[in-house]
Amino acid sequence: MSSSTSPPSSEDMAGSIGIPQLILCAIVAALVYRYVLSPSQVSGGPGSANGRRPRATVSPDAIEALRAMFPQISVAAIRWDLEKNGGSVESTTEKILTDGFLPEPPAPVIRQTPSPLPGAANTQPGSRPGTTRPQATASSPSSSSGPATGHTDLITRYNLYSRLEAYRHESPAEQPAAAPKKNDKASLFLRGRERRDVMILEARKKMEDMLRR
Amino acid sequence: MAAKAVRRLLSEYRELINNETDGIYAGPISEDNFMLWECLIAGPPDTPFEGGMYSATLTFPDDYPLSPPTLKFTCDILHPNVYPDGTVCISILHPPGDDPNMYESASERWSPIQSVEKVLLSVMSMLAEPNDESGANVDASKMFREDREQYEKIVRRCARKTVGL
Repeated sequence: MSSSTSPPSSEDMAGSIGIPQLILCAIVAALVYRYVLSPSQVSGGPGSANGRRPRATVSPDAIEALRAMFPQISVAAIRWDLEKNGGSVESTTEKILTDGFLPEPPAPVIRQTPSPLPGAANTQPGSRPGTTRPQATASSPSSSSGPATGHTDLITRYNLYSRLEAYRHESPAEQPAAAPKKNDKASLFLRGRERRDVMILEARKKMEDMLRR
Repeated sequence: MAAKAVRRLLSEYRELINNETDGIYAGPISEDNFMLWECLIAGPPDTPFEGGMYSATLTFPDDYPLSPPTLKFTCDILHPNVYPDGTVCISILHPPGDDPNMYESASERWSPIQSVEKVLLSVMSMLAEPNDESGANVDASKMFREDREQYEKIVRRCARKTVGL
């Protein structure tokens, strides 16, 4: 019974929906080709980005994803780079990772100014005067990406560049023994700050060793 | 109200300075304000965070320790449980009544018997073991699940940046 009723119905469906279905398939295929497959072809040359309207290939999702990973990079710079490479999140990520920043687009956009850090304002008064900045820039090539970053590193934030060289040669174990164990507020703060600075210097030393290996 | 909080925070601070715990530091940013602390958390070993020194601020409510502090990273960090603005989302920082994720048991949430030290140690283990069900940073969660290599690469880069390398 069932075999006799089903053939006509399937034949009926093939007859009435066949052509619209074909057209639909063609449209879907064209869209898929246009939006999903074409970026890889566009990325071939930077010249092609100027030829067609590149804006269409940059999805807000891609910009949002990159912003989440690199909050310090401006939306304008991300969009500009995506437009240039045909919307490839991977290649923009790669670029940020290797350069540490993205160039801002040539059009007038608001430049990100380094935000004042919560810790920076209050923690300086007791620290050593006369910090040597030239040494700072010489020993850390990554600080050249300064304008693009939202946060400063800890060495810069706590003015530790002047102590860096000396710390490399002293053993961290000597530090705590020198401080007398008093518990009034002022000496607590003194010991606390010292511990913080030593922790940062120690971390920096370890990271230098890690990178050397 | 706040006087009670300050007393408790002073004793926690004394404890932290006298009995140092490896890999963490915390203390008031300024002597005049005990309700705002800065802290350091070392990246746990054998993870891509290793070698990094992560800075954060701890903001205490006036009714501390009844209510938990909030912890916000002040360095670039990519992690599934850290909002893009740096705010950390873990169970120990949520009071028992309010459970935004609907899966935390009351015992792992904030209560007055917790402390700054326990919070920082929890954050350290959170760095080592992200919970990718909590969607504080959806893109980081997605990358952690689907492209671990890329995730670790970015995390390592951020770790170097924390100490200026």
